[in-house]
Amino acid sequence: MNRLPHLVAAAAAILAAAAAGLVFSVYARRTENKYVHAVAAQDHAEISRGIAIERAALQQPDLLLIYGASELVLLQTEYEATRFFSTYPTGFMVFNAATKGGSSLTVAQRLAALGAELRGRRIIFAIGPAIMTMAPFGDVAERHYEGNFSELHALELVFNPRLSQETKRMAAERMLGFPKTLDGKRLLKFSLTLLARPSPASTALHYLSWPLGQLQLGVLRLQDHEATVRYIHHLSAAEVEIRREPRTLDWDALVEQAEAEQIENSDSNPYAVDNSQWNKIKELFEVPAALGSRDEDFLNDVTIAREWKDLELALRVIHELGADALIMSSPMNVPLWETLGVSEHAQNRYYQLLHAVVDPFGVPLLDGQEWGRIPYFSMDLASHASRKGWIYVDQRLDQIYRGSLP
Amino acid sequence: MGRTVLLTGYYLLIIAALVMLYGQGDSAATEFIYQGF
Repeated sequence: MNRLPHLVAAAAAILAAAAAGLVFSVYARRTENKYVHAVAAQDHAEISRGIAIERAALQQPDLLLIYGASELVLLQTEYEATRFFSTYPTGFMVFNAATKGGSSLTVAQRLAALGAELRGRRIIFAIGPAIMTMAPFGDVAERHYEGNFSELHALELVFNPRLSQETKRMAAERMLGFPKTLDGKRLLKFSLTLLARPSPASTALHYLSWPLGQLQLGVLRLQDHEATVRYIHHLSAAEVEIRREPRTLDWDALVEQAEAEQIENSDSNPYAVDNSQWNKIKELFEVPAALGSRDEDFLNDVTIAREWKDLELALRVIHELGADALIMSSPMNVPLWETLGVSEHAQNRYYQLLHAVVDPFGVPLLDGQEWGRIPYFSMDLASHASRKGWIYVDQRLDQIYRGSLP
Repeated sequence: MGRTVLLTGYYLLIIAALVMLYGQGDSAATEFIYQGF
């Protein structure tokens, strides 16, 4: 006779639920793999706190994953990579994993969440000078970090067996600096506190909490699959249809065409700033500044920028997970910064510091410096690509995919 | 045996209710409004 009917029943129910979760995971992965090309062509920001669809994208030889921030997603134009390559004109499409307000700290966690699947896979990490040169202390804005924060990504980093203690310590120290993101996330906060101050006791406690971490990750991964499958099911028949239209691209003609459009969209000011951005920055140009008059401030700001340390963290994750990464930077908008009193010589400090951080990791870097004086390349001071700038970026992405760059 | 099956169903319902109440997580949170630099 069963003396513990409730225990037996509860155990059976938990096993059945776990089995159902497993079956659902398998179904979800199949759905994600089947429709990842369709998702690539859509605005999938609503599932950007997950990682399941990126895992699916990593497996596709004709999808090029790009990580980064608003430099990639701000301007809505047919020249932006996800639209430009949506018909696979040269045999591939980009999967844009960049997010508005993203930063190196966000990207580090997102890449950590890909885990072992990142090994040997080509990814592009697109960065720009905006945070280093314009943000207070060169640090990601709290509202941007909070808006991009993902408990799933954070926990995947914390419990990733392939990341070193030092990388986790660096990450934990930074992540604890954004306490609002940890509200109500007790296990995450507890784990980060242990990792930030390593000692034999904290390391032991961290490993003791590993099963609990895996349990919570199991739940979060299921939630991610559920949200992704729901997103996919809401796509229309037209949206899941992929059209592949190979063609030869005349890059010079496209540059000319895009420049003409950009000029039309920059007619509110004499500085080639896109009309959509002019009102945000026009006050900066009211009082003319002598060339070089702001060099000292600029050099100080860019040198102390916190983002460099976060970039180093992201590079550590890339290195330790064995990703085949390439860093691509937007250029400084040289003429615009000169108007504000910062000489090109001072602006070049951005590139020097960029190489100082990236080069020791042996990761190929396309720093974009050669684009800095191209008229109408950037649409604003933050180096967001304009319509014309996007053609240069698209051509570069094509060269990367074909292997002719770096 | 019958009692065990009923109890199992009961606990499965509790699990299902928990999933319905708390199932949607971080990934379902709304996108923030990017205000740029």
